[in-house]
Amino acid sequence: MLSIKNLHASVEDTPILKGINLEIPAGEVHSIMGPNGSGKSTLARVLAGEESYEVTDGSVTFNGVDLLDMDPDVRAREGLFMAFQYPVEIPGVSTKYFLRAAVNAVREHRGLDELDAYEFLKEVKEKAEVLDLDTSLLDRSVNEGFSGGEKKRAEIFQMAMLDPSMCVLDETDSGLDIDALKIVSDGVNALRNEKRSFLVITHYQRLLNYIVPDRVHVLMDGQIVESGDRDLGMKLEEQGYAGVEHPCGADA
Amino acid sequence: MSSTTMSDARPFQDDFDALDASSPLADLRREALDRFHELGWPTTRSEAWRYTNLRPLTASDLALAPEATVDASVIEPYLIEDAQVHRIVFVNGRFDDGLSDIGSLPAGVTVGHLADALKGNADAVMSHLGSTFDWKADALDALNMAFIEDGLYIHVPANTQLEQPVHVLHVTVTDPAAAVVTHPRTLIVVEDGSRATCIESCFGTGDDTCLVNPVTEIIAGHGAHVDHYREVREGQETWHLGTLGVTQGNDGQVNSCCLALDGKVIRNAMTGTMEGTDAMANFRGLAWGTADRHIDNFLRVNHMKPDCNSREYFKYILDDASTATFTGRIYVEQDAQKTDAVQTNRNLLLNEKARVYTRPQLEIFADDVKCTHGATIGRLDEDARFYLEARGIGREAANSLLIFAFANEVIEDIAFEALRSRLETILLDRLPDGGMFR
Amino acid sequence: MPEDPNVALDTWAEQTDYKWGFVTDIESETLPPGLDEDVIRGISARKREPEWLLEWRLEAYRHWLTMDEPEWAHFPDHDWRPVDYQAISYYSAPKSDEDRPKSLDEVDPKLLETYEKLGIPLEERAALAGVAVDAVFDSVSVATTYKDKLKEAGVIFCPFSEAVHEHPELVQQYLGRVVPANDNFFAALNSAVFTDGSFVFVPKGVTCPMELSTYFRINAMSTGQFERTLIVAEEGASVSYLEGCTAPMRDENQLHAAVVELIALDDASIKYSTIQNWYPGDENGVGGIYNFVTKRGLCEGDRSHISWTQVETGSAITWKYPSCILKGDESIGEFYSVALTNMKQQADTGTKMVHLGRNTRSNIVSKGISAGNGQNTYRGLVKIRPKAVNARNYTQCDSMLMGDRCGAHTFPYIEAENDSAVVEHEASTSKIGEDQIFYLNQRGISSEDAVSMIVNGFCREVLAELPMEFAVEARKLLEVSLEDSVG
Repeated sequence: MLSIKNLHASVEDTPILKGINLEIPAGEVHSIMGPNGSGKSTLARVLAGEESYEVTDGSVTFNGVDLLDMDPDVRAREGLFMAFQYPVEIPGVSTKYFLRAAVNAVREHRGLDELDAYEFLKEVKEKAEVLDLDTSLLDRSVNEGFSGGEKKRAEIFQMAMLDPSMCVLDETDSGLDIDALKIVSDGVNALRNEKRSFLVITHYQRLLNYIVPDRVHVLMDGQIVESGDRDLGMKLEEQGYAGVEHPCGADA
Repeated sequence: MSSTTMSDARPFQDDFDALDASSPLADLRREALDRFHELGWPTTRSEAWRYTNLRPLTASDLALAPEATVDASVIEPYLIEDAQVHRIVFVNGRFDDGLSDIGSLPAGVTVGHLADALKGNADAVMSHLGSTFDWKADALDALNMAFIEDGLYIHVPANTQLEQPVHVLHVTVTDPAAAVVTHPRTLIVVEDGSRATCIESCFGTGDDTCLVNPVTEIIAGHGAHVDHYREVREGQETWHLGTLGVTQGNDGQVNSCCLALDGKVIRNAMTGTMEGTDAMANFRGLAWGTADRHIDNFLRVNHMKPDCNSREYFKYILDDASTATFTGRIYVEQDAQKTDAVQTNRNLLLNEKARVYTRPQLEIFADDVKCTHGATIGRLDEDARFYLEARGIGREAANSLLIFAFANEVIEDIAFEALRSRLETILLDRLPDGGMFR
Repeated sequence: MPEDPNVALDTWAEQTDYKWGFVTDIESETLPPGLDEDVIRGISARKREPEWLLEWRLEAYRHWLTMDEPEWAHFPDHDWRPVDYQAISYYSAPKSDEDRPKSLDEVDPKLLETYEKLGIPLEERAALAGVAVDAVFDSVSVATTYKDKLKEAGVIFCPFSEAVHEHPELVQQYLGRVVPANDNFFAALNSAVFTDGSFVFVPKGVTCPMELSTYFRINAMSTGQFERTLIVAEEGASVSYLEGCTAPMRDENQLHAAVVELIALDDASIKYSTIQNWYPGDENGVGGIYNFVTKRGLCEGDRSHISWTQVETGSAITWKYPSCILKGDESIGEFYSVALTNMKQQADTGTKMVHLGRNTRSNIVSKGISAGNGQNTYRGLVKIRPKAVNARNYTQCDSMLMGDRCGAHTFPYIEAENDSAVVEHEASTSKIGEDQIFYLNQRGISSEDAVSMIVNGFCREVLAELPMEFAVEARKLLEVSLEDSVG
C-alpha cells in the first residue's frame, strides 16, 4: 500500500525528517507517536504534498506509484486522504457543493459516473448517519464557524464520502473531549476494512484506546526510533518519551 | 502687526516681512509663504476639506498673534497633577522660559528652543522639518512653515529612555479686537532604541475668534517607542487646525491620541508613515461635540514595507448641533506584504441636530494583507439603558454611564496614568450625574 | 513536483480570453462621425420623433457643451486616452430601418448567429427560460419577443423608440424624472444623442409574468452606445429586469454612456440585474470599452423597493454607481455588486443611497476581485437627510486580491444628518489562501477549480440575488474568466 524509504524533508532549509522508513500494508492501522517537534505533522504534510515542505531525499510509493511525483489533488484522487489537524475555513463555499465537487473529481479519476444531486444526497445521508453527523453542517461554508469537534467530525465524514485507500489522521484527537473522541473513533473504526490502511498520528496514547493500531512507531527528531505493537503505546504513556532510547537508529 | 483678510492679494505678507530675515529658515519660509499664496485658503471643493468650511474664519480679519505673557494662574488648571513632567510653555507660539520648568534631563537629551537647535545644528534640524508629510499639499501647513519663528525641539539620542513625559502647553492669548493667529511648531526626534512621551495641551485665555495652527512632527528611529497626546481644550471660538506627521523606522511603535474637547472647530490632520518593517502605529481619537462645534479628524496611514501593523480608532460623541467628520485612509504599498491594519470610527449621536460625515478608506496595492475598516453611527443602545434602569439607575445617570463607557474605550488605553485619570475627571464632570461613577 | 498555487493565480491573471470578440459583418447605416445640432436633428428625424423630444435633446446638448469632462481616473499611470467626441459616430443601425423585421424569421441570419455565439438564441432561450428578450443591436432594437404575452398582462415592454410613438404620454411624463438631462457630463451627452433602449411600464397591481431581459451589444466600429432605459412600476406592481452586455474586440477605446431610470410608486418593486462583459481591452491596456453609465432609481412611493444587482467583468474602465433615492416612507434600496478586474482594467463602481423618507432602509454588498494589473474601487455614498427618521443602512465591502500588481480600494462616504440613523459599514481585504487551495487539492479538486470555487464562494451573497437562470450564467462568466488558470 504505502512504502516510505529513507524520506528526508526540510522546511525553509531546516531538515525536519531525517530518513524515515515505513511500510504500511493494505488493511493495517499504523500509529506514529512522538513528542512535539519530532516531525509528525511534517510527515503528514509531505505525504499530502504541501509545497512548503521540500523532499530532499528518499521515496514514497503508493500502490506501486511514485507518490511524490503527483500533485496534491492527484494524490487525493489516487486515494490518499488526510484529515487535517487544523482544517482551514473557506468562507462562502458551501460544504455540500464542495464535497460533491470533490466526490465527483475522485469518481471521475476512478472511471465512475458522476453522482447526480439526488444520489449524492442519498449517500450523504447514509454516511452522516453512521458518523452521527448533523447534516445542517453541510449547508454552512466549509469549516466556517465550526467548533473544534465539528471540524474533526466533518473531516472524518469527508473521509467516508471520498472512499480513500490510505487515510492519514493528523492529530485528529487534539482538542476533542471524550465524547467527541469516541464519535470520531467510531467513525474511523466503521471505515476500517481489509483494503483500507490508516496512519494515525498522535501525541497521546489515549486515541489508541479507541482506534486500536496494528503497529506503533515512535518518531523522534525526524526518525523512527522504535516500532512495536500496541503495547509500545502503553509503555510510552507510562514512561513518557524520555524513556525511549535509540535502540535501532543508525546513529545510536 | 497688521491684519489680513480674504481680499488681500498676499495675506500675511506684512506679518511675514517683519520676521527675522537672517534666520537659517528664511528661504524655506519664503517658499512656504509663496506656496500658501499659490494654494489660497482651502475650500470645501477639495476632498480634504469637503466637510469643513473655513469661510467664516477666513472672512474675518486675521493677524499674527503678538508676543504676550500670561500669569502662572492661567496655566495652572492645565497642569497635570501628581506627576513629574518636563514642562514647556508656549504663549502665542513663543517659548515662555519663565513658565516653563524643564527640570533635569538624561544625558544627551534636548528639550528646548527650536531656534537654538537651528543655531547649533541647522542641517540636521532642517532635514527633519517638513519631512513627515507633504506640507506643500495643504495651505495651512504651508502657512505654519512660513511662520516658524521658534518652536519646540525634542531630541532623544539612541538607546535613551526619557522617563518623564514632556508636557507642552500652548496658550493662545485671544483678543476681542482682532482674530489672532498662532503657528506652534514641534519637532520630536527619537533615535534608535529610545523612548519618549509627549503631551500637548492647547488652550486659550478667552472666547474670541482666533486660529491656532499647530504642526507637530515625530521622527521615530528603529525600535523607538513614542507616545504622543494632543489635548485640545481651546476657547469656544477658537479654530484649532492642527497637523501631525509621523515617520517610523523598523520595529518601533508610535501611539498618538487626539482628545478634542473644546473649541469651535477642531481639526487634526495626521499622516503616519511606516518606512521600515515590523513597526506598529496606533492613532486614536476621542471627540466631544457640543453647541455648534465642528470636529474633523483627517488621517492617512502609509504602510510602505512588510510586516507592519496599524490601528486607527476614533470615537465621536455628538450632542447639540455639533457636526463631525472623519476621513481615514489606510494606504498599502505594493511592497508592504503582511500588513495588518484595522480602522474603526464609531459615532454616537445624542441630539437630532447633530451630524456626522465619515469616510473610512482603503487603498491597497499588496495582495497578502489583512485590512479592515468599519464605521458605525447610532444612538445610545436602548436595551443597555433599559437594563441599567431596571437595576435602579435613573435615566440621566444611565445615559451618562453609557456615554462614559463609550468614551472610556479610548481613554482607558492611555498609558500615562496621571493624564488618564485627569481625562476621566473631565469627562465625568461634563456628564449629568457623572459624579456617581467616580 | 506539485504546482505552486501562486503561479496558478498569476497564470490565471494573465490568461483571459475574450471569447466573444467577433464582429458581425453586416451592412449598417452609420452617420458620419461628429456631433453638432444637425446630427441630433438627424437622429431625431430618422426616428421620426415628436418635436418635444427633439427640443429636449437639443437642450441637453447645449447644456453638455457647457460642462467639463470629469477627470475621474484614480490611477494616473493607467493608459487613459481621452475620448474624442467628434470622432464618434452617434448613429448606427442595421441598414433596413424602414422595413424592420416583423418576426424572427425576418431577422438577418447573421444577427441571429451573433446572438447564438453570445449564448442567447432568441427563440430557444426565450422559450426555455421563459424570458422575453428585447435585443438591442447597436442602436435599434431588431427583435422583440414575448411582447404579446406581456401585453395580455398589461405590461409594456418595447424598444424606447417605439414607446416614443406608441406611448408618448408615458415617456414624456417620466423621461428625465430621475436622471435629469443636465445631471452629469455623460448623462447630458446621452440625453442629446440616445438612440434606443428599453421601455418598461408595469401598471398598477400587476406582477410582471416573466423576467424581462435585454442584451446590448456594441458592434459597428467607432460607434458609441448611448442607450436609454426607463422602467416604471406603478402602485403595487413588480418587475425583474436583466441586461447583459457584450462587445467585440477593437483596438480603439469605445464609449458606452447609457442612462437607466427606474421609478417605483407605492408598494412597487423593481429588481434590475446587470451582467456586464464588454470587451476589456488586451493585457497591455489597448482597446476596450469605456463604460460610463448613469443608473438611478427613485423609490417614489411608500414601501417601494428598488434592488440593483450587477456582475461586472468587462470594460477597460468602468465608472458606474447605480443609486437609489429613497423618497417614500419605508422604502428600501439595495445594491449587490461583483466587479472583477484583470489585465489593465479599472472598475470604479458603487452606489449612492440617499435616504429622504422615514423608516427607509438600504443594504449594500460589494465584492471586488482584482487580478493582473487590475484596479478595483468601491466608491459609495450613504446619505441620511434630516427628515429620514429611523433610517438604516448596512454596507459590506469585501475585496480579494490575486497577484501583487493589482489594487483594491474602498472609498465610502457616509453622511448622517439625523440622530436616529443607524449606519454600519464594514470592509475587508483578503487573498485566496494557499492553505485553502491546498485543502481543496487534498480533496481531489484541481487548483483551477479551487480558485474558481473560492471566488464563487466569495461572491455568493451577490450571485444569490440574481434570477436563477442568470446566476448560472454569471457563475459561468466568472469561471470562463478563471479558466486556463492552471498550467
